Amino acid sequence: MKISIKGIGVLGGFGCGIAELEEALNAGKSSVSTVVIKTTAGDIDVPAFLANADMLESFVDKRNLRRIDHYTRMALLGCYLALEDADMLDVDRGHMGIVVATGYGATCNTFDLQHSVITEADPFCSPTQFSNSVHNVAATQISILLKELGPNLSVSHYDMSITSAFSSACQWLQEERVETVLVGGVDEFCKILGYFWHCLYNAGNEKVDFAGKKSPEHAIIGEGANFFVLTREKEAASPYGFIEAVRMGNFERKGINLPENAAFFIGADGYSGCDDKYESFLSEKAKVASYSHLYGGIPVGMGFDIAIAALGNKAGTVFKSAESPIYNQGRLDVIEHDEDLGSKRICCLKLGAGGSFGWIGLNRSNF
Amino acid sequence: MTIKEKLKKIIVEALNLDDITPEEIKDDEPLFGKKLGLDSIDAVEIVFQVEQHFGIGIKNMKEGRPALQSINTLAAFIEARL
Amino acid sequence: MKPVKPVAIAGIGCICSAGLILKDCIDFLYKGERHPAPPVNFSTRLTFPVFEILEDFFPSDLIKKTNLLRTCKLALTATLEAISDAELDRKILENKRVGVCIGTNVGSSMNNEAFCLDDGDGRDPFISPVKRFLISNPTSSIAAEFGTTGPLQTVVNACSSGSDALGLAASWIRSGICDVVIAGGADEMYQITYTGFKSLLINDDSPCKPFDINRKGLNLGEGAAIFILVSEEILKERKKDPRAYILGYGSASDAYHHTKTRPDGKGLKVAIQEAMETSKMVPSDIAFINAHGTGTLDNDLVESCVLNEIFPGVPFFSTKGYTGHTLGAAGAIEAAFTIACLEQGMVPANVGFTTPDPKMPPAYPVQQNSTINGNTALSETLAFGGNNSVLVLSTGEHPA
Repeated sequence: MKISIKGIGVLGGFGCGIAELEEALNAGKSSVSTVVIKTTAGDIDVPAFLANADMLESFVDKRNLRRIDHYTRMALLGCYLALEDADMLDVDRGHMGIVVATGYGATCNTFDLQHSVITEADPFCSPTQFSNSVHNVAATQISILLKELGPNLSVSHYDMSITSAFSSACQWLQEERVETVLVGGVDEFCKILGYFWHCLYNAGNEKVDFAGKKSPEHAIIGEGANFFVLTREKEAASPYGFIEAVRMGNFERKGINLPENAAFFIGADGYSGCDDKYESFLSEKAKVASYSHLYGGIPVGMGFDIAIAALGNKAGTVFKSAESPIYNQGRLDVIEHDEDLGSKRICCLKLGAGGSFGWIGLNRSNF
Repeated sequence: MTIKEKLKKIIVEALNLDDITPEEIKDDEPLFGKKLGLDSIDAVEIVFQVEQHFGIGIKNMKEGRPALQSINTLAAFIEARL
Repeated sequence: MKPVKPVAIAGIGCICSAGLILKDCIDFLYKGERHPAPPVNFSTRLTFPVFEILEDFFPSDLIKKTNLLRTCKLALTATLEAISDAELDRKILENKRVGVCIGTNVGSSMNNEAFCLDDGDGRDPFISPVKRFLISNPTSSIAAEFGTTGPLQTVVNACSSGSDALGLAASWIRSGICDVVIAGGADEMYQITYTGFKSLLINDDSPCKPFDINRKGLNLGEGAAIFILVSEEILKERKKDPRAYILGYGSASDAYHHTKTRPDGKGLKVAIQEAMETSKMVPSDIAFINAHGTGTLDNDLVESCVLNEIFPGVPFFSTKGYTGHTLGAAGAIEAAFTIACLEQGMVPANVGFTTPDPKMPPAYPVQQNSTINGNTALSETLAFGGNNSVLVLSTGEHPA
């Protein structure tokens, strides 16, 4: 049995939809915005890969969006784009499950709320704002707007959120609990995160993890959403390929078993404190690429790598990696130009906080 | 600005009703009728806004329901407690 | 829905305001007492009663890190009890494929007060609280404490998180990706949720009254319950019968409204149907139902209608009147109570219920401690956003 990727919906600093992601892959860059953050030491400029979710209004009546904030709008748009790509917008989707991964949750809203309730000891808070801060708000709105009664799961496990979400999505399909799963990730930029970037990478008074190896794009905070329609099929038939394996574990306490004959998409985005550890788990001259220069530092970044892998499967290509990736001390074979995927599989690998790891293996349909 | 005008402005702004202006809300029309299309979260949001702007608390929906019928009933509820 | 194999529960740990271990909790329920009071864990001008754990419960000598969220401490305390109850060698936790799957709300939020104060006072937030947030949730703290190496999952399905974590964890055992799973739910009493529920006008200003005509809303609580789920292989090695089984699990969405229960209860019905089909049970197999019964107007009305329709005559009760609504922990705590009641052959009175609501079907919750027949029961949770989750649990024999 194969778990096929039928549709992809993405938005982020690179734009909106798979066509704009492909453009960014070809150009090797995404547009960076600047956010001004007030601090006690004066205003600071923080770069960020921001996502525009305005296109959602072409899928959902504006009235139904009046209480829905940017975080949930990004998730919704990711879902609609994925369903549109799968040609499943206006058809009976059968029993469908929804799985949403988020590292931070609805951060802007949550911080505002914490500010008013805790800092000002205010016994009142806006019920709309409170209900928008609950971690499953995005998954809930997706089920409401799509009228899906199937199982609905939200997971939030920082940088392992995507692997954890895909693990459950694939399990549901294998158990034949559902016929289709809409699974993906969403995370939002907020000023606290921007300030966090500033302290880690720009303030000069903090330890910079990769002194001298920073590229201007490295670790810029990103936001966006990446969603996928997964189905169960007897034979691999989708041009995006199928999901071969989803694995989680702990690399500090036990090693990692990685697949053979694979190109590795590495989730080194500057926030898990282990960007320099990838090399030790990969064999000499392993084919590697990283794409966080297109979507930024974001806990659900692996979802973008999965999208890039699926697009690569379809095109039979491994897209060129970021230049001067900070995780490579010279042992690895970084994919510097688009190259033929051949018979290789793609393994999206993330080393995370606390020694946790997650990887998702994808393979092309015709192999 | 009268209490009624203020209420209409609050409702349009806090509930993000950008397809309608405060002036379009009639004093006696049902707040939770078809035209405005408000629901239970909007009801508690109005309670919160009334508390913030007028300092008047509504403890529960038993107390709130009669007050939240229309702009008229809400304004009367507030005036009686100012 | 296809039937699934039962998954063995080797041990259970539970902590909440009713008691610091499962046995004390269940004894407390049978006594029919409760002592909700305004919160003391944070300062607030509000006086809605809550069910807090007032004892110093954390066995810090046993646990490596004390600089943890209260939610993590609750989860770790219940985990220690569960491991000891399971008589599981801690080496197994390090050597076998052990997963951790925990449901929570607070444990995944940036709920660091110091961090917020720094931000709000015009000072700049420090990096350490942000970094601490990034790695501190109950799942990670359990994995770190017990040195597990398997999959981790933190379920944030609001109030049904604890049930969902157990249902998902059972799948990990069934599909063979884990030998052992430490699963359950944990949540601490938290100012934001306390204030948030007040703003939704669904806090009761007196002790809550599930299913009663005078119910005004819920009281919040805190706690954790942790289950040790094991594979057949571990069960054989251990040479001890399991305490109970997860027979089936179902979950479904209301697809209706993000704070309001769907009036026709359709999501709940779909979840019950899935749980019953996967466990191969029919309504007459069910000895009782541990209902969600929060004490809010909508929840209790919809729930009693659905229960009356699918399980006419089957005793049901809510334990929220003894523990408060423990949010992400509720599904796990109530699953633990369900198993304890099956073991004792007795269910507690639904505290807070005195007068029936004429809007509900004429089927009332259990009004005094009652003996029950049978060894299989249902635990039900309904969440914010319309997530409904149902577990079928059994203390009978279910050889694989």
